Amino acid sequence: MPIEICATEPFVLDRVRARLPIGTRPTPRATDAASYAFWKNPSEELYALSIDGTWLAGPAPLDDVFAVFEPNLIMRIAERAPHHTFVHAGVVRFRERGIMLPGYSFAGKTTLVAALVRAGAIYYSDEYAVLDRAGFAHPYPRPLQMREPGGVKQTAIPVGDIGGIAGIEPIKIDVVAFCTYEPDGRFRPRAVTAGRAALEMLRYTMSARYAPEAALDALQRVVSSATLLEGTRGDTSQVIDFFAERFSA
Amino acid sequence: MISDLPRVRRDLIVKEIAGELLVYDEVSAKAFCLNESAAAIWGMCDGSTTISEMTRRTASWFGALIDEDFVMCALVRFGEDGLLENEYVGARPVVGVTRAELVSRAGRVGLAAVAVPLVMSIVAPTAAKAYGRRGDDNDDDRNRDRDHERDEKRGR
Repeated sequence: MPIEICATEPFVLDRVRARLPIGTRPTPRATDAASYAFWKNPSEELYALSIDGTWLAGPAPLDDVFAVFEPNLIMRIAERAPHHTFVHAGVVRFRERGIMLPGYSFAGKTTLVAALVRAGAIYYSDEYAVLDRAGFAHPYPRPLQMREPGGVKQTAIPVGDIGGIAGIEPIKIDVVAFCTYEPDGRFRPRAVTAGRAALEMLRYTMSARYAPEAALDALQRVVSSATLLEGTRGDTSQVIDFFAERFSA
Repeated sequence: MISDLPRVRRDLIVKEIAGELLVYDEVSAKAFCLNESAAAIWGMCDGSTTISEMTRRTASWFGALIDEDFVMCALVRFGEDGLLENEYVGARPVVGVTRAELVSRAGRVGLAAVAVPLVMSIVAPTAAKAYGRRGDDNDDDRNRDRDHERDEKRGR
């Protein structure tokens, strides 16, 4: 998926290069590329950002403009990637099984993913399940975006810093678990039908409107062969114990 | 009002998953999950099968004494959600039967409650909503809750 980024100040492009999403690589110029442009106000240290000629942010300090640019770029890629479907979900490989944990932001995905990694799981993503048409999840191992309990500000923690490693090969999803955090919850998940699970996953699918047929194909592949569960959880150890017991059988 | 010969729209995206159906309507940006019995009735909405025939076939599949209300429960939902091409053609009055009543009736004829037609739906999220926090999608939740609870509310 081609993206063009230009700037009036060369150092801005250096900063862009340092923050491009995982898997980004240079390509020849494409006529159908989305085009981001950073502009510096000549008289002030303020910047503006546009996409395809439409204003997006600024004039504002560069940090503020980047705070708009980075999520916009990632969301655009996640919505319009031609060969993959991005589902807002954590993904790990735990005891040779692929586990997918769909959920919104602030739902506790990263906390659960980090706990599973500390328990020996291989890290794939705390943000997106990147599914191909066969329903396999590809690694999207950005640094984990950890928050203090109750906080909003995120800190990026490389997976190695919590003793984990990132996956390299695409994995089959063996379990999809819709976990809702409740402080006093007990994790006793119940089975969900494949159709309902796909409908629920669509709720977290970035391309649900942009490319619904491809999205449904990918979700269909996942739910057709995975165990599908939903339930509330309390402490992350409940989920780890559940999967450890289930996968040792 | 539902046609005597209901026919589902042909511009919908339909995926079969283990007997259930996922239906996506690009016009309304809504997605639906039909359980097995609703999916079976959907499959007969070809514009040439009468509601009486649908009822007869459904009763035959489930091996239970099922009346027309069972089929109408699904057809009314299809119609309300705009999934039928011809809901107002050759119309007949819609019986105001609720799903809760049908679950009760199903029990009396030895049919599992899960066999009663069920249609769940969500509004497909924009990318920003798919990414967002829970609670940012109140419309979706309201819609889902409606699907689960509407019939019970109607019956009160």
